[in-house]
Amino acid sequence: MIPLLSRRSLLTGATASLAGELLSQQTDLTATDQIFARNHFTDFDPAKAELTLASWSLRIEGRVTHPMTLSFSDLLETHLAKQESLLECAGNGESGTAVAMCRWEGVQLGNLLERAGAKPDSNILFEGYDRGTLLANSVPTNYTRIIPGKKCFAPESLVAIRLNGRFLPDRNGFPARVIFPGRYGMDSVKWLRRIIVLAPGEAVPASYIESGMPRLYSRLTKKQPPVPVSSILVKSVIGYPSTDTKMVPSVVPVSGYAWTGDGSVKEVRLSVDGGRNWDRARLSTSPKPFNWVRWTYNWSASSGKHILMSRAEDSAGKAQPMSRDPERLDAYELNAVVPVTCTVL
Amino acid sequence: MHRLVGMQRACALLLFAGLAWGAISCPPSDTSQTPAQQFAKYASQAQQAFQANDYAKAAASFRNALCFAPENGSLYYGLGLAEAAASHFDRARDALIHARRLSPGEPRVLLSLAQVNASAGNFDESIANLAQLDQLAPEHQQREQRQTAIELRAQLGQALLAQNRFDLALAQFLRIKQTGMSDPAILLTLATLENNLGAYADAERDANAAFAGTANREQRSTAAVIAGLAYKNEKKNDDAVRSLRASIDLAASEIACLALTEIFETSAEAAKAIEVSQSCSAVIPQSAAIAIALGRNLVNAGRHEQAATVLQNVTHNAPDQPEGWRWLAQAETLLGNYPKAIAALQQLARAAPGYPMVDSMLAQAVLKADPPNYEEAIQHLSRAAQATPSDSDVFFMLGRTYFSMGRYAESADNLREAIQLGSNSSLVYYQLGRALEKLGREAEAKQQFETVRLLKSIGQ
Repeated sequence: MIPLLSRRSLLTGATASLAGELLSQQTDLTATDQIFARNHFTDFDPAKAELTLASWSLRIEGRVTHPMTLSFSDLLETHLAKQESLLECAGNGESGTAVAMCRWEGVQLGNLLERAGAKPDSNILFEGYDRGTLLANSVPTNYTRIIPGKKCFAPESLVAIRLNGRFLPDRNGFPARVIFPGRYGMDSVKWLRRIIVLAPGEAVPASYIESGMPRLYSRLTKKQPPVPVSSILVKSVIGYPSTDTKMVPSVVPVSGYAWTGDGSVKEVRLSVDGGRNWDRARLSTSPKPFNWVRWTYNWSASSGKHILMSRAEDSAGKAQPMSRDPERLDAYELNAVVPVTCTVL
Repeated sequence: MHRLVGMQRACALLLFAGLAWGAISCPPSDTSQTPAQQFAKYASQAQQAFQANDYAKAAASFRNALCFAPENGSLYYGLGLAEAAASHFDRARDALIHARRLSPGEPRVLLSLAQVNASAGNFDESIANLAQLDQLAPEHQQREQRQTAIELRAQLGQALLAQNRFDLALAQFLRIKQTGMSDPAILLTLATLENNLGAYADAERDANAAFAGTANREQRSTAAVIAGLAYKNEKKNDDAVRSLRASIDLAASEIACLALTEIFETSAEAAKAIEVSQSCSAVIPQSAAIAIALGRNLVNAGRHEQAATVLQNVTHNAPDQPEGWRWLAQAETLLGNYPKAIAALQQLARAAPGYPMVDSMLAQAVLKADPPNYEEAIQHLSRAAQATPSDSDVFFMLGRTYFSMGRYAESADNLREAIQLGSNSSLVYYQLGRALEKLGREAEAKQQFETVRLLKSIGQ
């Protein structure tokens, strides 16, 4: 078996802001300069890639009736849709900051695929301009993901050119990337270069297999074959207070965010006694698909050490696990409940 | 847009091209001539009328000729040009759509249709026509047609800019750039759009290319300021300073001066900020914004008397500029001239009634005056509390003011509100403890002082 490079080498460019800073913001959108960035190749520098609005192009080919090459102007001259949706890295820690709520703007991917004559029952391969080596001793390859056609044709899926009202920053995929709301971030290929439509059942290109790409972002256990991760799992985090906070006895406005990939958040419960008792938190924004929801809980804090936990459940009835599945060998889908310890003086 | 690019030139080409006309009966029949002769007569009349700038007669003659050749795309093309030249854009558009149906691969028809649609304000259709034109094989297009298309795109881009349709405007200028055209004026417009829309690296490249591609002093200054703003947006301050200084040296502009001042201001280089705004103010004395920036930086540098002089001048010349009054008030406060500070803040409230925290600032000023005017401070703070009901600082100030007036119950109520709104400063709890003490609620006061002790132990 060819070993994968360490995960550390794949997750470069991480922002280092604290969860508290991110989550205590008064807006539900994440500021652009605080949005996380994860690159797949250590030697790819988007600022040096010389991708410009005038030189960028996107090729759509494969099992289509009208292969096409689109320029950035072509995208600008097409109706641009807006989509507020959350982006989370599949490897985001239980209380990590690789999650952001963003306002995207771009061309509906289904619109482009229809123009090219692709069919929704296809599998569709997305390739970025970012290039490098994933496996030791393998040839350099462009970053690639394969997404089911049904999701590609869904109205929320975009070829995005704007993030929070401005063109994408270099590190977030300038000038264009795909966005698949509800799926983990690794599918939303940045610096988009090529879309290849595969017929139903058509074998994926050998180069894709050899690059090690399919083995990235999979659930690994000792007993089961790898299963690719896809939809974002239900999760909640406590933004305030953060671990080791010291407070005076008072009514403490505990707050945080919750989200899920499929459907919407149904409820968030809070425990202030290490999980023995749970009380429902108030959702201070209305739950919407692909969005996070802000929740609050007024806790009458008395002196002592306390362990706070939040636990979300989504409209599909899925709840956050209380702990990580011990069978899991990978470091993805980290959505278990996290204790936050604080002291009331 | 009411000027068509190259329309008459294209028409002349048509008329000298020699047309093969068909024949159908339409005008009163002239039995003395064959249909071919009648067709030739009308076609000739159309040509002569067009050359004589009699476009109405030309259109009528084209219509008559069409009666003898109803499927002749070239005739419809000529009719479209005649109607367009007469500014009958709807009729021109109809004729050219017929021409396009009959001659779908003819670039001049598409180009004319794009021109007519642009002239009629149908910008989206014009853009669609140009896209169709781009799909035709390049060898089918003459150089002159390609140049006309570029000029049309530039006109469309400007018209779309005037309508604030920035994406579509940008698309036109990008397409022009993709033809290899490097006109500095086009590059400057492109760079401006790129910078405003967030493509900063592209803006830098195009502005620098425009700078290098022109000897015109004004254009070079504009190019440098656009590059400077783009660098500033990317937080490349050294490059931004270099470009903005180059722009100011070539031809000082308010935008370059303010951007350069702001860079020095945010990097806490007060002396440089003052130097830039002073020298800019000397060159552009009519700019209130630059003078205010100078005053603000003098205040921040502790040169309060100079600041007050500059800002008094600004507020005299531009009393509608709220920032002038705001910084004048700050300068006067720091000089201890509280009545002048209050007067400036009252002017600020008049110039901009919704100015953030103006009531809080007024309250602070009247509290600093000798003697303090508590009643007026309460009025200002009550308005501030209404404007920003979640601002705990306002309630803290209310609590302190009521305390100073000996109105301890109201003081305690407002201090509790400040705590409820999230204030966890030991100062608030201490003030509340004092108010409760005065009210004879010793046990409650003691609790507050204990909280003060705890908060101080954790640095709050």
